[in-house]
Amino acid sequence: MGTSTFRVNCVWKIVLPTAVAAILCGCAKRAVPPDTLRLRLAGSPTTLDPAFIVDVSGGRIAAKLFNGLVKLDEEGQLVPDIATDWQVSSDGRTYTFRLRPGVRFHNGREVTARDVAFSFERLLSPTVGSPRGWILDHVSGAKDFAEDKTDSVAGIAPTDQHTLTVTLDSPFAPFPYLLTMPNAVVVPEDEVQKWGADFGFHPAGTGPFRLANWEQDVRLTLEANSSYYGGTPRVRCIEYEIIPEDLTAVVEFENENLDVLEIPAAEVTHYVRSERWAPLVTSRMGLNTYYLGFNCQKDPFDDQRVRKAVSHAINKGKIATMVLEGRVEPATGPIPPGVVKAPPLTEGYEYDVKAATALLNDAGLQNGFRTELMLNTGREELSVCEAIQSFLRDVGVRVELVPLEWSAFKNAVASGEAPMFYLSWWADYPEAENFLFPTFHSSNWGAAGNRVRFASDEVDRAIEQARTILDDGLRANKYREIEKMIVDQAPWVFLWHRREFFIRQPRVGGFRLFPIYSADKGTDIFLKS
Amino acid sequence: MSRFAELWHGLRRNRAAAISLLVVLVCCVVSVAAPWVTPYHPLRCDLESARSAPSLRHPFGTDELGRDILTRVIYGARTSLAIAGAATCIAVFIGTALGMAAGYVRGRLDLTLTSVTDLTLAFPSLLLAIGITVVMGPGPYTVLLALAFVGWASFARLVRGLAISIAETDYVRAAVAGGCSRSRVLFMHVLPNCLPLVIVAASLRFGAFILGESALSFLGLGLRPPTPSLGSMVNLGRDFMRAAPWMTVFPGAVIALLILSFNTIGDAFRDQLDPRLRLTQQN
Amino acid sequence: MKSYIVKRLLLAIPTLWGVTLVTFLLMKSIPGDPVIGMVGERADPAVISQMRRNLGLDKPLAVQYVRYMGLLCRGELGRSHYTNRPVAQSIAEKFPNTLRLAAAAVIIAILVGLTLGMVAAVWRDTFLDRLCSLTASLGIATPVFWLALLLVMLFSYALGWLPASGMGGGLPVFLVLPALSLGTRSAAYLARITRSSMLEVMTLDYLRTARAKGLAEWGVTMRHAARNALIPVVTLAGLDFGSYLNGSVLTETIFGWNGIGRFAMEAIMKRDYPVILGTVLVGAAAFIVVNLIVDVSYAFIDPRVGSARR
Repeated sequence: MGTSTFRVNCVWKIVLPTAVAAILCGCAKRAVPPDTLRLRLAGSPTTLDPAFIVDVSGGRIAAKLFNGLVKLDEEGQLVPDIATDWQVSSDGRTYTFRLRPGVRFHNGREVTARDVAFSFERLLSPTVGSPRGWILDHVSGAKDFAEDKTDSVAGIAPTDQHTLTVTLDSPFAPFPYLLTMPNAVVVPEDEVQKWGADFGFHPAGTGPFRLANWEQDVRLTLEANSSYYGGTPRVRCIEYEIIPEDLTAVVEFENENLDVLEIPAAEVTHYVRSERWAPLVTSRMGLNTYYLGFNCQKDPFDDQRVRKAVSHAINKGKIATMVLEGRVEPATGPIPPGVVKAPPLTEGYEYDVKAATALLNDAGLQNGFRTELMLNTGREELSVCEAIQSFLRDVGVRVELVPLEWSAFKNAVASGEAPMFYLSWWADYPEAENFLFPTFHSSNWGAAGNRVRFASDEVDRAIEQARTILDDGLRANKYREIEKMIVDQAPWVFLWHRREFFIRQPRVGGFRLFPIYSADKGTDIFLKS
Repeated sequence: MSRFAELWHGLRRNRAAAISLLVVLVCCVVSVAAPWVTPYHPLRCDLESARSAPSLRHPFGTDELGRDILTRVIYGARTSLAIAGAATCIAVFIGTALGMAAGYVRGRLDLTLTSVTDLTLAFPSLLLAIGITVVMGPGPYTVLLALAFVGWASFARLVRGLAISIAETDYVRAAVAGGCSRSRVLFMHVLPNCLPLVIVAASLRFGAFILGESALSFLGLGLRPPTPSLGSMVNLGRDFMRAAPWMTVFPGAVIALLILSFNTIGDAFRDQLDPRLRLTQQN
Repeated sequence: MKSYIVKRLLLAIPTLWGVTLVTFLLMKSIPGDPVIGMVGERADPAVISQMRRNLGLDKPLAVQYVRYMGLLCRGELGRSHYTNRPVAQSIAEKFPNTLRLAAAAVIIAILVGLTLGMVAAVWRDTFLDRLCSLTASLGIATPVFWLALLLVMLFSYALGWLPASGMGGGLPVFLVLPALSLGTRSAAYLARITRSSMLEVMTLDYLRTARAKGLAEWGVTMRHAARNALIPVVTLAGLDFGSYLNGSVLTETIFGWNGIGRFAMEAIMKRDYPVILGTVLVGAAAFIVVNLIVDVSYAFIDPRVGSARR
């Protein structure tokens, strides 16, 4: 019969047996290892060198490989880590940390105050060039050291094997909170020297886990550190599978190939309403604020009234319930709930089309105006901004949506090119200063955090003053005052705070959600047999 | 003139092609007449009915902002057809021209053109699209250019391959020996023989462009949202494939229908051109 | 023939150089740079400019280009701005995966596509023809990610037969779904091209002559018709293979396949210049090689075609 029969035969001889083999394999589910916790990462961490970690994946993993002086508990409270306790001098400038003895690096060497000093100096070192040096900005002599004017940082002094003194230029109450960041952890000098630029791929710390294997962009495996000072973790191994696509991750979870999964937005409703899965869903309000930013220095948004008009024109509640299906909670100000113990002093801006129109008329823009709203390309961002566009159209503000790919977007926002943009601010540490200073202080225009180019002497002074208040209660009240000042000037449209949802397999126990992703050390979680 | 008449008659005989032609015409008419035909405004958000399943009120359901999908599909077809159609024409034209030149003339010209084709094929289209956007600003023309620029190279290679083998056939050699000029041979012999395949490839490429446009627009390199286009509707519904499948199914089905129709018409054209060619060959 | 191959290979060098030059210029002319992504959400200008200096981004463009060319001449591809890993190492890790996936996809495409196309041509204008054409059209019309996600939902989630993601350390069963979703469109194209080409030939005069000589009718039809289809099929398969070698971002993303497509795409988004240049170079070389192989094969497929004699 010739070639066609041959071909047809070939096809059947190859395809059919493969299919049969696959069926008999039932390969969708892999064997469930009894002592390995399997988690998902959406992207590979760029590095595991604490001096350079700026992404969430990196921070998550660093929490398990390293320890800092202090760490956070589930409530966001400061608790001892390598430091057993710390004293603050009465003027608030000197911190004395007492380190616990017997904490060992993964290579066996004991941690001393010298190591902590080394780690901190590394963060500030001009040769290392870490982007997170700002954590230690307030330390005396930090600036000189960073500018290469001195050989060491004057304010960091190991007074003996297990005591470290840190002196600040001026009182800075949030300081211990900054030390909980994944960059302020303790690294061993000998390992750093040994690996040099490759330390990021051979991280060594004191943490409950050590890096067992890292298949770039595929899988990262951690194994328990039996000599961890806090006791051996309850799981022997943590495996991070890199799965970029959300839906695929969901399928893998349902195929029991993942133990815990952060539920992608589109699937939250399904899991929350499912009878089978609802009891295994954990959620918490994240420490973040989503906002619409303006370039407060450029027309027309240099006029407060226009900004307030836009704030009134958007029905946040409607977007929150209908578009985002209740995964977010409308915001009234920049500080997410749970960060400040004092009650808020402002109610933000209600959806009020009349008020919006009135304000626009006041500002001389009765006929509305045209502007651009820049956003990072992403399906959810697009939906939200299209909804916002629709609301603004109702008050005569004709918004053109400009989705930009990642680099172009970051560039446009940092340079002030974007008249309006949609962004979010996530906490690095659970202290309100994190939501006020970088975002609204006039010294931080652009990439430093104040992307809206907001400048108010009053707010500047208030922030500078608040952070020197050592009493938590008084400071909290001051923060709320500042928040009210800021909200009154509407440099952002304070949209909402996003809730995080996680689902776990029935065999997972001890799963807790921490307020900051980098606080979870993975020591409480265990697998039921 | 009679040739076209023949074509037309042949098309009418072919039932499937006739139906496809009808489908395409209907789509074109409907999408041009969109503002009068559609019950809703494509950009009107109705958050209350976000993500509703297909119903009498919304035959294709609504998307995540409550916009009627049927309306957006109709408007989207307009955009997609226009852009993909124009880009296909440009890509086909350039690709065929260059491919014929390279495959028939050979020698230095072939080597140069092949290098250029290789260069174009190898170049990451995303980078190119971003570059064009920087120069021209985003918008439908940018998408057109980016798509055409990426698409012509595969036509060129396809046609080149054909031209090479056609050039070696007896009748072409005979024509050359008989004193036919190069351009005459190209247009009278090579081109007609390439046409069937080019038409088929073009109808395939058209489908690729519909989806390619959406990928570019999604990255901010093309149409500004919320302008609907079939491809972007499919793209944006990606996360909701489990939760609200109608967001991707309906626009996707329309894309499939259009592609199928164009393919059938392309086939019919092809079939029509064929016996013609056989006759000219024998003469 | 040999001189033709040599000529093309020699020509590859200026082509590749052209590719790097155009890529470099294009890369640098688009807004954004890697530093802004590397510094995180809070970075003061001093840190940013220091990082730019460290990466050599403050030097004039010509200097940067010359530096890069120098690297290339030494046989290196530089290091990623973001991860500081050698680009060559990353590509060496990812390219084999892409190669495997590309090969599997093309094999599926050829097997399925040719079969469908032949069936459609042989039983032309019957229901079978329409069915094959319909299938092919659907294969083209379906967006890749749609198909991929559908396959995942069906074969992994609903039926539990095949794994949804990952490469499984090289187990062939992990290759099935990604190769299917990647190869389907190619198969559809091939089917239609095969059908069209075969139909062209199946009414030719010499077929009648060959049949008159007494060969079995089917054998004649098939062999000659298939021959005619081979050139466009090989061209198309080569084009597709070449493009798969450059990595298919969507498939790699959905299946978590560690290939260079995703790698390159992310690099472009993050403006990781050395990675962009490295992947473009490797991809271009792949295209050139594959296209050359395809061109050389013309001579074997159609003996009338020599090399460029004019």
